[in-house]
Amino acid sequence: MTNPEAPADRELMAALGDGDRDALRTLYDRHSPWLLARLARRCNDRGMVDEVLQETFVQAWRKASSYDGRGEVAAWLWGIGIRRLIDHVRRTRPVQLRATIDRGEEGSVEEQVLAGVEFGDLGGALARLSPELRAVVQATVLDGLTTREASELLGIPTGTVKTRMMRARMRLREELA
Amino acid sequence: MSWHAADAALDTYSRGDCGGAQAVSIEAHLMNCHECRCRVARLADRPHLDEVWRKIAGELDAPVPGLVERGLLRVGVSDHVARLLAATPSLRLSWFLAVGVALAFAVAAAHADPRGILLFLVGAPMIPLAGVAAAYGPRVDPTFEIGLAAPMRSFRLLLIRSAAVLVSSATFAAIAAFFLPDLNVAVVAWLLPSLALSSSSLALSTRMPPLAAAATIGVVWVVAVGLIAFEARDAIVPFGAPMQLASLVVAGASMWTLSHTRESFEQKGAA
Amino acid sequence: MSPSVVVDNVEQQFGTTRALDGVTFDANVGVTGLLGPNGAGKTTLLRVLATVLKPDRGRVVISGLDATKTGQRLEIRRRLGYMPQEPGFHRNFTAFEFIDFVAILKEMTERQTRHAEVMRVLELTGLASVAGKKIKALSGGMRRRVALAQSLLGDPEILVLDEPTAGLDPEQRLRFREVISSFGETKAVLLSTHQTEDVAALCHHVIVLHQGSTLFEGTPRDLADVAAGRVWLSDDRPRDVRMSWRTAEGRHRNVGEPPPGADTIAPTIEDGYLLLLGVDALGEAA
Repeated sequence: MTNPEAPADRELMAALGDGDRDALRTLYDRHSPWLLARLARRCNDRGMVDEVLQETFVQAWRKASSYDGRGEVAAWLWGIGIRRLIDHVRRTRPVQLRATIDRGEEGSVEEQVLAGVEFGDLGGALARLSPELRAVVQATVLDGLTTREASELLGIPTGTVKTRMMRARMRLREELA
Repeated sequence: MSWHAADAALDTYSRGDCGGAQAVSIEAHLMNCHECRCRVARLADRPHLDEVWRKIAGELDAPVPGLVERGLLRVGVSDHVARLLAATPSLRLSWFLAVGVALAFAVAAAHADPRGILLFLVGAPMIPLAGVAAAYGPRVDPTFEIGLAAPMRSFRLLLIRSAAVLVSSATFAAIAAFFLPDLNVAVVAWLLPSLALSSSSLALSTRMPPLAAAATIGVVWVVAVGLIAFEARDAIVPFGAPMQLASLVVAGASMWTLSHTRESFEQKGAA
Repeated sequence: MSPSVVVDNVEQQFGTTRALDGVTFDANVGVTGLLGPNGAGKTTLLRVLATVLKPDRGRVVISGLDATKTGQRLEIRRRLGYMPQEPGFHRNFTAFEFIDFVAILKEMTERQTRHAEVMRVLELTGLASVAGKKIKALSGGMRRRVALAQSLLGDPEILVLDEPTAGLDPEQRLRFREVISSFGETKAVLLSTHQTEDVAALCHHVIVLHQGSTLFEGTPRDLADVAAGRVWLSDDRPRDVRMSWRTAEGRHRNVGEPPPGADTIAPTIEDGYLLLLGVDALGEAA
């Protein structure tokens, strides 16, 4: 799959702007698997996740020109996808999602090590956060959502989002100090 | 990139069984690593993703409704019926334009000469007659044969289209009628004859091709009105109560005939 | 019940022309070819099979359902796909729109499922990338594929195809044959053609139609065997022979009654076909 001949994401995006349907298909084949997995971790309604995936790529096709060429195409796609998900969630209260998969424990030592490799020191500290705090960090930091978007996704009031972010920041600062 | 996630880790992640912190880590990594994204793709449920792709492609290629179709959807017609109607020649914008011109001409004639109103009253019912003839049949419907072979009842298609043509024609004629010089009974005197002409043409089309049926009815109508008008003093008389009653009877008889011969629309060569 | 077609003594007259004169045959899963020159009645017969035309006399029973009974005919239409010889297309429709339209006629009222099904048949016939193109902008070969695609909607168990390979170049014909052949594995496919190569390549069952009557019903092998012992090579063109032409090697290949001691060769399907038709039909059949 890592075929050196295959066009890079950026080239595909340019082709998309020209109306090349095959480029969309390639983009889809490349990105839909991880997008699906990532969306599914934020919403356990499979039907909704499928719909969001569909809308993401339809929108990618229609708004291809809005990709400015900076940053990863993957990030751009995720931006579309997560906002489509929040849109769906907003429309279908009561919400049927779970914040993240979590076994309710703090991360195992192994996970802490892995997280550590990716995030440096931050990773280990992240792993030691409680699930609710980690969910908020994930939504705002990793997913790049605003406080309001995070509150919609997680199904908690914006005040709670802010409080938890504060606590998470405090905890992380303590750990890293 | 120095660090890549292990295949096993990616596998658990794809399946959704990954723990919180590790998942965060993997997700952050996937944002920047093409190779690992490809590895996740290899573990994916292809048939499921293909199914979603089909919906995407379907949505991109989906027909974009034109003006008339959008209007139909707005008034609550379901989307598949609107599609069937949108393909009707006599429900196209070009047809409506022609109808508008014809009616404008008839209204102008009425203003020009007191007997000119006759033109309007004779012409207005012929518009849905022509419209219905142009809505159905092998000459005007390119998918006629395929339509016959398809499960959907051709009679139903015929009715839907004829009804739409009648309603649209009547609307146009009603609007035009308000521009007539005298707002007397002429404003609605064409309505029942419209129904009579259209339904009798449809009933006749079980015996002869739709275009021939429409032409026959049209000729009979013009001749009949011509004869009556020739005798009468003013133009409205032919369209008085007797005519309205006759129209009602003809319409009723035609609809009765249609309901009893509707099977003949489902096949060619059927009795 | 597995798909089956039973045609029993079907007659059809158009004015003074007897288009079908007591046609009788059976067809089951697999590809059945209707071979015959123009005017043989192939299109008329296929229209009867597709329930478009009601025959003057005779019965058609498809998968146990009687085409003359209204309710059963409806059920037949749900299980049958029909590709007419010259399908008309609405001007300005794209390939997708046309097939979508037919899908509505096939009672697919739910939009999302219908669109997915349209995409499915477009993919099957290799038209996915031109789905959004107007039909009038497509080549003849692609238009034929659109016509074939609509017949596949709903995955019918019976396919009635009228001259599906007509007007296609050899490469397109090959691809068509591949697609049709794959359907023959699970469906009863009835197609008409006036080309013996199609029959040789595709069909396990052949019916030769001429002037409304069945001249032959059997396997392609049997059709070839009609000309067994009646095909021979000679150095000169003989007199009184049904058909003769010069081969690339310089000898003459003849079909007819061979003289004693002639150098007979194995017959092909075409030989059998030509022999059945007689001289008058040869002009059209070539």
